[in-house]
Amino acid sequence: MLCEDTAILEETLLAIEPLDLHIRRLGDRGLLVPADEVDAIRRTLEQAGTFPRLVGSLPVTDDAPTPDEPVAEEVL
Amino acid sequence: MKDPSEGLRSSGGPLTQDELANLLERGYADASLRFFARTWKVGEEADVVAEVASQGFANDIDLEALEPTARAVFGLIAERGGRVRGENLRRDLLLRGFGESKATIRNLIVRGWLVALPSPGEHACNLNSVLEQETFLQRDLAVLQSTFERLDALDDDEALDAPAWSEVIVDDRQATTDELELNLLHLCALIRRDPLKLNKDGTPNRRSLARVARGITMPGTYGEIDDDLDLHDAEHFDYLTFLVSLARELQLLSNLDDATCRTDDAALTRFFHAPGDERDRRLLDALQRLRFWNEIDSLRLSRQASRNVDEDHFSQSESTGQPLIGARGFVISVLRRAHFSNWASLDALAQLCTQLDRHYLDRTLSQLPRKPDPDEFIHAVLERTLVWAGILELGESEDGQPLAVLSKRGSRALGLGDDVPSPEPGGCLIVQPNFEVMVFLDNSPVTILHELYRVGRRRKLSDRVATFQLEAESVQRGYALGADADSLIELLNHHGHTPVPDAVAFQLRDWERVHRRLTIHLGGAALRHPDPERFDLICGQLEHDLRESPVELIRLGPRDAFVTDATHPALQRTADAESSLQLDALGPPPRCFYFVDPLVLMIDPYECDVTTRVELDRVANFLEDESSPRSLFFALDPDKIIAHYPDDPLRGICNFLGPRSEGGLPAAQSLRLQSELDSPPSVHLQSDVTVLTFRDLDAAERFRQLSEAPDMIARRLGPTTFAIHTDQVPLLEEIIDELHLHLSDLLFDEPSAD
Repeated sequence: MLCEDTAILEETLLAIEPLDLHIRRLGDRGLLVPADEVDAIRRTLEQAGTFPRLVGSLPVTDDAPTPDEPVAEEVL
Repeated sequence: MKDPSEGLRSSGGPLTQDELANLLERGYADASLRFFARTWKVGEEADVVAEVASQGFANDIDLEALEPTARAVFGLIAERGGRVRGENLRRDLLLRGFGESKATIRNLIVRGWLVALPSPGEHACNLNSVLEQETFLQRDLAVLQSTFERLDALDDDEALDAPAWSEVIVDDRQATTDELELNLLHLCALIRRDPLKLNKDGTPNRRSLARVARGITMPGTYGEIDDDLDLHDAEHFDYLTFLVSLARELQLLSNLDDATCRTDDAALTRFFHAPGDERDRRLLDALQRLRFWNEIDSLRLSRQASRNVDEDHFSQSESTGQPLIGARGFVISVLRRAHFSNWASLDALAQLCTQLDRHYLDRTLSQLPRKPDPDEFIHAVLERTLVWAGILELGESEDGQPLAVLSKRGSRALGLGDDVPSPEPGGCLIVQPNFEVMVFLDNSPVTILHELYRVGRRRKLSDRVATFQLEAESVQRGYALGADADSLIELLNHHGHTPVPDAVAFQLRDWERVHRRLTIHLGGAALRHPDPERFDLICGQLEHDLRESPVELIRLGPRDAFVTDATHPALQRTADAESSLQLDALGPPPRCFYFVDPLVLMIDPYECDVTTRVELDRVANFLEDESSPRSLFFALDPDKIIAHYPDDPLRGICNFLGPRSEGGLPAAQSLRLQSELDSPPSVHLQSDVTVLTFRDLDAAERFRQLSEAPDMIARRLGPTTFAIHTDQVPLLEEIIDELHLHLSDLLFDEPSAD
């Protein structure tokens, strides 16, 4: 993930902080993330109103990511 | 080889004297010649029989006295120029409401008023057998030339009656495929923002569904449901279940897990950018394959008497529609074969399905738990599935008989026609300075709607106009899905009645600038090198190699860089040439752990991948004082390990360390980890033990069976080895002496398992 500047990077880190991710900071504006964690990051950022630009495509692997999500209960 | 009789056959029209003569010579058997002579009451000579085709015969048809179905037979044959395929004649009679006509057709053949023709290439067609085996429907049936002339000469008043419905009362509002597509787009756009939650039983969570269903149009009604949406109304809930199920079959929605459905944007783009005929074909295919909705329960729901349908019907995990896939396919294939272009009786369509292959439907439906009646199922497919999808339109004859006709898109879906009008060229939208886009649905291509749903939020839908709002969030979301400002502005200008206002164009570009502040490069590779100067040279060379390609090298620091495509050959070449260059990519983790002490390991940070490096911090403490830039030391911390792998700490840490250690996790480390994380392995140390070993197994067994053995043997240590109680050694020596056992100075090996 490449941010325009350090401020955007800090903002991004703050948004995805609640996720339990394997993120490594690269320099002032780069974050390195394993491919199978990109989807969760993207969804979290979108919920926070940030819509990152996506470039390229993920490498195809046999095991698809299966994030844990609680089963919703019927509430009315 | 070419059939010699082929050239003698007419491809259409009534049976002429010449053709009959040729068929009597080469196509019919002698028994058929006698059949004609007997029926037409003429001599058994071929030329005399053939002459009947042009001259007529004594018992020729009394058109006045014909019963209605027989009149319709001749009416249809007259319409088709004197000759028709038996199956098609029967099918058309069914569609026009005459019911089963096989017996009538047979009777007309028996009386000689209709002639069953030999099949191409047939040389001995026996009409008696044809009638007996009832194969006449698989043959061409023709009237004689003389009969055809009489039919042709009838004036309008006497005209034979094969009625097709010309006066049809049609509802103003019919469900259309265009509206179904709009509903699918709308649903998928809302689910994109707010994934649809499913309950444990697979039914859509009503609160979640209410959020994503706002704005849906019920089939055959005007405008959005909006405030009238009531998910306790079984029909609303049923239609939404149908939509969700259809979207899943089209793969526009996919299950994130058992509890959530979300939009697959790539599939959505593929579907709505496909040519119209392909979209129709895929839609029909998906309707046939609906697994999580079924039309029988749906139709029962809409009838007042049976509103109580199991919750299973609404479940997205109970495949209540799956057992009907084959039967739906059968009904659709019958419709395709029926090839009807005009209004047809709905009952006749249902009858056609049951008559063509009644046994198949009986057999298939009887295997279902509720054993639905074939007639009920066919009506449900026609009146619910195909009507909701806009494939069929319903109407009513003047005498109240329900009728149906294929819509233009329905015909195209069935492969029966391609005269679907294209949207009229010219503008279909107006972009207003307040960022609203008004779209005129009647001449708007579906690709425009797809694009507007991608970058905008539909605010309103009136009869034929949809209004979309372009907002910072929606536009940036669209950019994240692949849209860009220049293409969007060009599209809006191209399809707009007026140019995009400057303020809107400026804002669209500005939103793109904001959107580009954070970029996720998918599938790239991170490069690291311990020597900044060497790394500079490597990056310079790589930038040079990548200059002709769209792949970029982005410098992130003196030792870090990122290449946007991990598979580029230049990168592979550089990695091969520079052994110190580290590429971080997914795959088996690198073997980068070196154990130096119990529970203490060393890593070279340039050998570690990102997952290993981050995970290590969660299970170990960094030993800063002992570390150098290229040798980082960590002490595994049992408390951290237990917190990180609460279910099974020992297994968790072994699974993490094992694949990252050369030769696997050392045994000493795993024993120590077991001691720390599980109960310590118990051991007993025994000294002053005498061990007796035999060379062969048989001797050892005999020794064990000695009466003194139980007192002497403390433990058997192997097949041929025994530990002897120290105080029993004198007794053992006595036995060795007494039994003449040979005492060897060498230690024997244990016998092999074989």
